[in-house]
Amino acid sequence: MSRDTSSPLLAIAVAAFVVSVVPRPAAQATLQLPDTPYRYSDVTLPPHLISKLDNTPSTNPLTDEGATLGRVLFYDTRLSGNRSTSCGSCHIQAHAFAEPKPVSRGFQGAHTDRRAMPLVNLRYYQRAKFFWDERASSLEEAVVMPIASHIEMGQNLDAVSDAFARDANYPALFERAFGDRQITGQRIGSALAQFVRALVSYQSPYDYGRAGVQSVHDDFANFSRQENRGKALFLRNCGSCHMKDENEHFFVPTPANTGLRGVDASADGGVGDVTLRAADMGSFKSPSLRNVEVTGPYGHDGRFATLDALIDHYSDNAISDPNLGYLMPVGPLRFTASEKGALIAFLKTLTDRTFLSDPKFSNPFAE
Amino acid sequence: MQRIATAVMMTFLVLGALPASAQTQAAPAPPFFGTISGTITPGPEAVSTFLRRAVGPAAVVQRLLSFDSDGDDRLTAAELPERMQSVVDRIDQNDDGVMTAAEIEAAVDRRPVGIDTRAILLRNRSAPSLTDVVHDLKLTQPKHDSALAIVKNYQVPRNLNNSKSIDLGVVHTAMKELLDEEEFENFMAAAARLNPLTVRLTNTLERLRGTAGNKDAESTAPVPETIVR
Repeated sequence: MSRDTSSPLLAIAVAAFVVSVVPRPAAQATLQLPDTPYRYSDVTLPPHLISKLDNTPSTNPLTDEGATLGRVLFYDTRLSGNRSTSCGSCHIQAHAFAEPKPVSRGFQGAHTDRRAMPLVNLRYYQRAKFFWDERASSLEEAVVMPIASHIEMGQNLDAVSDAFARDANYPALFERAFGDRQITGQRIGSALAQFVRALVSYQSPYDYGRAGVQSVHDDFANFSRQENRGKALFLRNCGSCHMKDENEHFFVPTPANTGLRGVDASADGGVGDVTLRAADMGSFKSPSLRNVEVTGPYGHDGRFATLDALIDHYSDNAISDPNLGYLMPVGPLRFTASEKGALIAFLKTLTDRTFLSDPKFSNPFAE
Repeated sequence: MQRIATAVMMTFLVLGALPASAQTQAAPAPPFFGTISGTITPGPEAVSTFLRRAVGPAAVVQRLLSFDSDGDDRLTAAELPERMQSVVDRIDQNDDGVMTAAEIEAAVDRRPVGIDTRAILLRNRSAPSLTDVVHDLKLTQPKHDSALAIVKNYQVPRNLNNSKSIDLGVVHTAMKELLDEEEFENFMAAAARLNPLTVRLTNTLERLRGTAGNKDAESTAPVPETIVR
């Protein structure tokens, strides 16, 4: 009796399991694009963000058609070896294109050893070096590295280019983006880089407040007293790195060693792992703080679960590392609970809800 | 000479930033300017832990050999994480597919960070005045004006002979009276973050003056015990 009843249940369970783990190929999803491409190339930035930091190369200018193609590629799971994983699987729009996990799961279940970085205003990272260890020397190079990675996506760009040439949509999309229907790995990289450069956050409460004052040091009219106090604390204690030269994209301009490596000789060396430069051991690139409210957990290994924990690192811990190379002489800053609250209130003003939900950055494949 | 001065300064700053476990445990509360001297003195155990890890080229060799999974003191590309495999071509000079410690050490880039980067790092500690600290508190206008009046004549001393700037007791007492508890706590914390080098000099001078009993006419206000540490 029990066998009679359990068998159908078992079959249902097995079927449910199979449905849940077997990836659905993207070809079954319907591509939905607007008749007129979204505007990616002529975005009007507020005056405080207009700068000479743009890393767009003359060989790959940002166009609406190129970024549209890049958006489709970004969300296409066929860019992984088993059609399970797209760039968008680990770079999630609601999290400023980061993933709310310490590490990411690759196409075959293996995990990365660092977390997915947020993709925010990368166009304005002047050094144009990418990943936590800055191992990619251009965005065009960076965007194809996860595709080729045997852990992350495991796809061969030449093979997928041949497959896309037979697709119903891609030849026309490539023609609009590049002038002819040829599909190559290099063009896939160029289009993806255009889309990632289009991911610019500039409509946060910070930006609206900033537009109303002459200097960033002035109180913002749309800020609460606590947020203005947090801004002052930030400018005083954090801004010389995170806002150097009043760079309001909130990048640290060079990799930094903030004492995350500890005393373990085998711990992640960051930039030093790539450059083999002794002074670089323990240094990491820092993502933009824009939308930092939703990009946690924080740090290259996600060791700080919350903004509180992150600020505690600078507040309560001294920043130490035997490597004097890039070590930042900060901490312990001994913030009071009230000051920590103000700093977090300020950091949350960098959240750009438009950016996090803008349909032009969303998955174009309808489920 | 400039390089030596920079190195000395960096060392000083780093010693001031040893791990929390390294610091004197006996000073939890940071009173007015007192926290700096509390955090700058590491215990001997922490110093030995701190120094146990190799720095410089040896750190790169140690790091790479930490991937030597078969323990033969040699490294193959397969033992490295995927993201690090680009370094193989630079290390394996004889193309035998094996990287020895000597080959790794020969490949280490020994250049220090550039002057520009050092300048960025050394600028990280701003040295605001107490006037700046008051501005940052975002007090209501009457309190703001009163607080500015209290601190306007106080300056963090840059010169040990500048005895005119040592009147901390008056500032401390008056601010405590003016501000509510949270505001005062924030004022104290921000004041303690003033440039640590000059604050340390201030504390030393305070202590010397207290011992010598040599108070000039402009420093007559009683100095609370919490200041002299």
